[in-house]
Amino acid sequence: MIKIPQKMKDVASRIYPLGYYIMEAWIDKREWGDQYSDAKDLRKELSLTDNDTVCDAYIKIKPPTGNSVSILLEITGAREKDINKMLDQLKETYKIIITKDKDIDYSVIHGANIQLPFKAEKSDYENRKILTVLGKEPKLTSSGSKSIKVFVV
Amino acid sequence: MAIYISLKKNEKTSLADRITSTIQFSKRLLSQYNFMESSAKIYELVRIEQDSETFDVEDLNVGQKIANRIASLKRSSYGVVINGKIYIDSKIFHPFIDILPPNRSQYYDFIIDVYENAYASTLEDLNKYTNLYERIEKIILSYNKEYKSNKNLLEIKTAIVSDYFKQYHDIKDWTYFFSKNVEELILLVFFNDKDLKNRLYYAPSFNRTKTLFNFDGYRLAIAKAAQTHKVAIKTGSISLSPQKEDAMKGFVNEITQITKKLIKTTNVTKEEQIEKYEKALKEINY
Repeated sequence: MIKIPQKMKDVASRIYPLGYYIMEAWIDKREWGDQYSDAKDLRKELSLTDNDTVCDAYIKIKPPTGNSVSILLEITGAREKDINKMLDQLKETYKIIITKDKDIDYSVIHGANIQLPFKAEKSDYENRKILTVLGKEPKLTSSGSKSIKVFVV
Repeated sequence: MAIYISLKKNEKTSLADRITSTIQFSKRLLSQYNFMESSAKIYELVRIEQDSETFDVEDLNVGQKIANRIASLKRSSYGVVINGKIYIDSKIFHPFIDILPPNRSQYYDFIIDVYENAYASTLEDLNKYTNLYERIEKIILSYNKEYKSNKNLLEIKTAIVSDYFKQYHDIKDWTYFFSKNVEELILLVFFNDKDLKNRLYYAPSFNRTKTLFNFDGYRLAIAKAAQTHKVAIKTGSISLSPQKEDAMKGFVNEITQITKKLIKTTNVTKEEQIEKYEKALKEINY
């Protein structure tokens, strides 16, 4: 199996607690270092330079049952990040990665300290298909638009 | 790490003025670095939606146009985000200006930060390539002078540089602080210390800070503390920029100690006050 940073493994195992197999991994090596040699460099694969803004990783994992799932990841490092900033970075990467014939199933934000009220009334949920779980449990938000679905774990 | 700025508002302040002021200030701050390809978008709570209308930031009436559009949406929880590119040392950075929705703007009106790339992950990292804090200060002062001649601009009241989620808390955690009211520094010191807060329980704190600040000895003591902790103070309005890490902490701790010493001579805590009352009653045999 391809080696990826522990924080990314945490996300994958949270989505598939019964286990998974990493089929493909592209990591922003400028941020996460070169030690993950099995993984490809996300910037190189997307033909981006150091000037461009990109999310942390693209991984394709296969759960024990069911089809493989492609995920874009944005993870907080040592410093706190604003959730809107993380969302924007995911969107930027998403726009580029779909031109490389990659189909993204989910985008995941990990470790964001959510300051915004993630409230959605029932009508909001029906119209805009935003699903929100508040409380101590992991906050889960998924947008029903065709292009991007975001989970906050 | 981002810049948080609050504007001077009153009941008559319109959303258009808030947006225009933010755009004018941000453009001035970033103009030296060729602020390019900028555009504004409206968002609601979180920026998930993909296809919202974009507005040209160079347009002089953009503030009014965005405000009209928000008014037509008939909900108050809309914010505006402005994206663009800047060039520093032949590197490209992607700053964004987030004009907070009215229901989130009671403390700060807008935030300036950069998206991560290989050179910078937060705004603070730009300091490696350019002297950003000095520029912020220069632009705030020149903007505040100019706002008087333009009816659509609002004055900048407070500006701080802080980590995310620390902007509401302790002044010690901030790496830059500017305020139009010099007394605000002392107010922040009061509010961040339990004992001082207790002692001001009965006193109108703003008046107290004014008296304290007008006392020459106190001002000199603050200047001395700033010198020892390498915090640059510029007065008129007040602007603090620590020259090294943890300088702000040391500086704030020291002025808290000085203020405590002075306030103890004039103000009492609730318990001390009750003790005094009891003593006075005993003296007249009741």
